[in-house]
This record gives sequence, C-alpha cells and structure tokens, in this order.
Amino acid sequence: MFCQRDLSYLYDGSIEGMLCCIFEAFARKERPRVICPEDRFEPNLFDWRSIGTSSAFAARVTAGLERKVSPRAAWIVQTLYLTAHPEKELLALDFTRQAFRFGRGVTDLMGGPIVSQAWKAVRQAYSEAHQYKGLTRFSDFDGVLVAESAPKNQVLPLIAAHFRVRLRNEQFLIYDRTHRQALIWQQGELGLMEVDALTPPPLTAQEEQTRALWRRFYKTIAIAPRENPRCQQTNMPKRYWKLLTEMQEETLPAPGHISLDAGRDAG
Amino acid sequence: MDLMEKLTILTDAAKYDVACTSSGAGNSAPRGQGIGSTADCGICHSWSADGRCISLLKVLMTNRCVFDCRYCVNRRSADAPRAAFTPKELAELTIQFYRRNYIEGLFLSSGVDRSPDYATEQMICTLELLRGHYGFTGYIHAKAIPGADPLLIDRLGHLANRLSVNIELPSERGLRQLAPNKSKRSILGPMAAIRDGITQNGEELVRYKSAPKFAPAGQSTQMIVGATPESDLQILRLTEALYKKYRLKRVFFSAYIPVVEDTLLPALETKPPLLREHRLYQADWLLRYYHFSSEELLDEDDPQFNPLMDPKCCWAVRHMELFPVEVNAAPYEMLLRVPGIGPVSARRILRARRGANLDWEDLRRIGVVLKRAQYFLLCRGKRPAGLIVTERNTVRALIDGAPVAQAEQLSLFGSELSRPAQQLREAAAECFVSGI
Ligand code: SF4
Repeated sequence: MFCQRDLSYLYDGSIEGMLCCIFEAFARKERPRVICPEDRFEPNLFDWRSIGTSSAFAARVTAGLERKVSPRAAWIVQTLYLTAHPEKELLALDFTRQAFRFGRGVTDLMGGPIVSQAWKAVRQAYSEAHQYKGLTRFSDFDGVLVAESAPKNQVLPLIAAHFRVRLRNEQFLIYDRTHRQALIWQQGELGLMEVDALTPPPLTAQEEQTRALWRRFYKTIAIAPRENPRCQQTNMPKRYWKLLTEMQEETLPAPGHISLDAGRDAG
Repeated sequence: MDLMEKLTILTDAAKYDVACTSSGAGNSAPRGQGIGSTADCGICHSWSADGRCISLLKVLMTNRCVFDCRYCVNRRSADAPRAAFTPKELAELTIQFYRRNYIEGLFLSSGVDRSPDYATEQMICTLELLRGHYGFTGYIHAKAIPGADPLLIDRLGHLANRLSVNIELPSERGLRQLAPNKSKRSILGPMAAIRDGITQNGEELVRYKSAPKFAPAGQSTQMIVGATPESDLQILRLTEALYKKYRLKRVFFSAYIPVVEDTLLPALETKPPLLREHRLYQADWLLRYYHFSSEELLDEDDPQFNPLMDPKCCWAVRHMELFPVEVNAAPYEMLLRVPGIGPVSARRILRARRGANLDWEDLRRIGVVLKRAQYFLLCRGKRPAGLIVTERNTVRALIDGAPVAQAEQLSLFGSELSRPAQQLREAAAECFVSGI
C-alpha cells in the first residue's frame, strides 16, 4: 500500500525528472499530494521535497513498465508528460501504480477512473497535434521556414516526424509560445530547444505576395449560399485564428518596416 | 492578367466541386530530394466560411470550355471572365503554398479548353513539372475529362494519387438533358479504364516493386443532387453500384446551387438542398463503414430520407424488435447498429469489455455518448437507472435537432413556427411516431 502524504514533490520540469518522482514514490511507498516543476510551485501548508533528476532512475521506470507491463503502458506514461492535464505527474504516478498492479491488461481498463483519465489526456494531446499538422503556418524568411504555435499540450515532439519527412529538404523552425520551445530542423538534424521569445525578421515582398494569394484563395473558395460560421468555428476554434495567415486582415505596411514582434509580450 | 486575378477566377470556377479530401492516400515517408508526403487519415488545413474543410489547392487549369453543360458556371454559353494558368505558374504556386503548410496538395480539374485531349495535356504538363522538376511527393487529385484519349488518362493516373471522373447527374436522362456534350458512355468508359488501371497496377506492383504507381489512392466521383428529380433511393442505389462495380473509394454529393437561369433547372432563388445532401452522406457512411445496404435504408414505399431523423436512427426505430442489446455480449456488427455508437466507440467497448464486465458508469468513462444509445442498450442486463423507455421517448431522443431548429426554413410545421424549440421537438416526435 502507498500511503498518502501531505507533501509536495518538486522536480526540474523534464520528463526524466517526472519519471524520477515516480521512482521516488515507489521507493518510499508514498503518494505525495502534489508533484510539480520547481518554477511553478506555489508554496502551500505542506512540506516539500526536491527530487533530483537521474537518467538511470528514469530509465528504470521506463524499462520496468516496458518489461513488466507493456510498451504501450510505457508510452502512455511518456505521453502524459506532454499533455496539458493539470496534474499530469500525479496521474502518471497513479497510472504507473495501476499498471504494476494489473499488468498487461491495464491499458484496456478504460472503464476505471485513472486509466480513462490517462487515455483521455493522451488522446487530447494527439488530437491537438493532429490539428497542428494542418494549422501550422510557415513564413519564408530567406529560405528558412518559421512558424508560431500556441498549443495547450506540448505537441512539438508529436508533430516532429511529420514535418521532418514532409519538409525534408527545407530548414524550418516551429515555435511553441505556450511552452517556450522550438522545434528546429536544419541540415538533417532535428532538435528541440528552449527558446524564450521569437523575433522574426521583416517579411520579404515575395512572402507578402504569397500570403496575399493564399488569403485570396481562402476567401474565394467559400460558397456564399452555404455560409456556416458556426460550423467553421467548431472545426477551427477562434483561439487558432491569430496564428492563421488567412484569418488576418491584409495589412501591408511598407516593406522593411514590418516587425512581427509588435503586440507580443517581451521576453 | 496577373496571378492574383487568375487565381481568383480559377478558384471561383472550381469551388462547386465538393471533393476536397486527401484521406485514404496511405502514409508515405519519402526520402531524398523533393518535398511532400501523404497522410492516410487526411489533414485539414483550414475551414472556409461555409464550414468546409480546406485541404487542397482546388483550382481549374482553365475555365475556358467548349462544352455547354447547363448547370455549370463555366459552360461555353456563359458570360464569364476566362483565364488559364500556365503549367509553370500553377506548379510554382502549389509548391509555395505547400512549403508554408497552407495545403495538403493539389486538386486539379479543368474546363475543356479546345478539346478533351488538349485540356488533359495541360494538366499532365503541370503534374510532370511538380513530380519531376520539384520532386513533389505530396498529394495530387486530378480529374479526368470525359472524352480524353485513354493513353492520356493513363499518363495522368501515373502522376496523380487519386483520379476521378464526375458522374455529374444521378441518371442518364438528366445527363442527356443537362450535359449534351457528355454521355453515360463517355463518363463510365474512363471510370472503368481507371478501375482496370488500378487493378492491373496492383498486380504489377506485386511482381515488380518499382512499377510506377497508378492512382494509388484510388478513384472517386461526384454527383449533383437536386438539379434533376431522382429520388434518394435511386441515388443511393447508384452509389452502391458505383462502389461495387467501379470499386470507387468515395462518392461525393453536391447540393445543387442554382447558378444559371434555365427552364430545365430549379429557379435561381431555390436554396441548395443541404439537408438532403447531409442525409446522403450519412447513408453513404452507413454503406461504407456500417455494413448497411441501400435496401435496408430506403425502399420503393419510402424512397426519400426523413428530414427529422438520420438514416441509422430511422432504421433502428423500424427495428425496435432487435433491441435492446447487451453491451457485454453483443457482436461488433450489432453494436455498430445502435444509434449513437460508431466504429470508434464500438471498438472501445470491445477492448474495454475484455478487461471487465462493463456497467453504465464504465461506458460513460470510456467515452461512449449515451444520449441516444441508452435507449438501445443493456449493461449487465439492466437499463440505465431512472430511464423510462417507451417508443415515444425513444423517438424524441432520436429526433435530429438541427433540422427542427431550421423548421422555419423548411416550413415543416406550418403554423407551429412560433413555438419554442422544445415544443417543436415534441411536435416532430408526434409527427414521426404517427408515421411509423
Ligand atoms: S465540361 Fe461541362 S461541367 Fe465541365 S467545365 Fe465544361 S461546361 Fe462545366
């Protein structure tokens, strides 16, 4: 039995760090009340403990899940880390406990509250990733393609392979504002980096022209007698609009004086 | 004429074609030179103001046309501005849109400029540039032009992921009246040729892996609904036959939008029959994924879809004797027939019930929507607590809310118009029950 402890685990925010929290909880047979990254910790009445990150411990959690439960269970725990579930770390811990208790069949126990929550969070992350495969918009800055996104889940690792294959001979960067990360593909190398802010250079005339053509296509393709703004919005919620070229008004300040930085918070 | 103007004219002329999907193309992971890949599940890149998914750059090569199909904005006798892309312009535009991830690929169709052969050659030229010069390995859907040389269609098929020939109208009579330059033969001929091309290519691919692929994502077609007087049953039978005989991947329906004043066509102010189109798509879905046949959904006595209820619910209401079914025991095929349960929920149920004997709470948690399904299911032999199942309650739960809300437009209920929605729903249920 794990005993419930009035305690917070703090970790460095990395996936390995999260797995180490799971390791710690198993080692001590306890379930903390909170697990969260240090930089997001809001002091409460309880005690807290800082959990160090060790690749070896993290690897043992993953290997244990893969061998004693199933690769699928290990994959769920890893994907949970990417999700926007507000208590994803605790959920990962609870799921891991169930996994060791029920073994292989755990991923089929979708009726249970923990497994169903885990599946739901994972599904949502994948469905957001799928949305971003379509809704990501690149701009060409001198041969480098740059896109901005603002996903709820950390979708960059989930869409990396897709764009790497598709744009294999391009160089690209996709910035995730929410998590301040950038996915970078350059000379055959894919990397995920912490990036605080993105300030792209001014748009070229050719870029403006291509955007204008796309906006025109977008406007023209709609069939007026079938107009259906509700359906449009259900499929493409408003929160995406600010990222979409076709949903921006055509503002064409004189070339050379455009800054994408306008209106974005500094840092 | 500048590119902006051409794009405007040639998009405007192409937009009534409804097929805009890249799904079913298979997942590809090309390497080496070039750009592009395909994704089997289909990716939407945007949604236009009419709520339709935009996934492909859908344009005509040209809207010049020597044919005179009466329902078409591009027909020879129409007074419209004309334009044509050069193959180079269009290939470059496609690549520039694709790099920026605006689109999943190209959907290219064309008016019959000069002759079917000439128009097809222009399309081939564009696709050759894309596939050759740019090394484009993304999705291309090309429309074959009735009457073009089979050799040209064959070439087109080797360049495109999907080929289609529009069947245009659901009957030969309609075709004769409204598309005098086309005939059943000139449409079904290429359709059969494409089918045979795909089959033959499949055999070649088994023998030589490197054989060039012919329309690997298959063939589709579309027909216009509401321009001619066929019944839903006729349309659905034709659809079923097209799937069987020509092994089509998809049949698309397009609610006729009056663009032309013509005595043979619905008047200009006629609203496009969107609800009917919607019902046809629902039924098409049932044919393809739910193992239904057209005969189960409609018959000679009842040849039109019900505006108040989707075809699957209609079927269920007429077959109440088969329900309720036990969630923990019913075979997959039967679960699929329960209103509110689709292939995803049905598969989830199968998986979840391997691990445990499911109760109502479990069902909810695995994400099965019970609003409709609960009337047709038992969990561990029990109905949901507190649910009273009568014919009337069931029917009321199955009434499709959207058309009822639109009742004003459809004037289904005459004087009932001013009643609030809830009462309208009651009235609809009433009217339905008395109809069964
Ligand atoms: S062939 Fe008929 S349908 Fe096609 S563009 Fe010409 S007139 Fe329109």
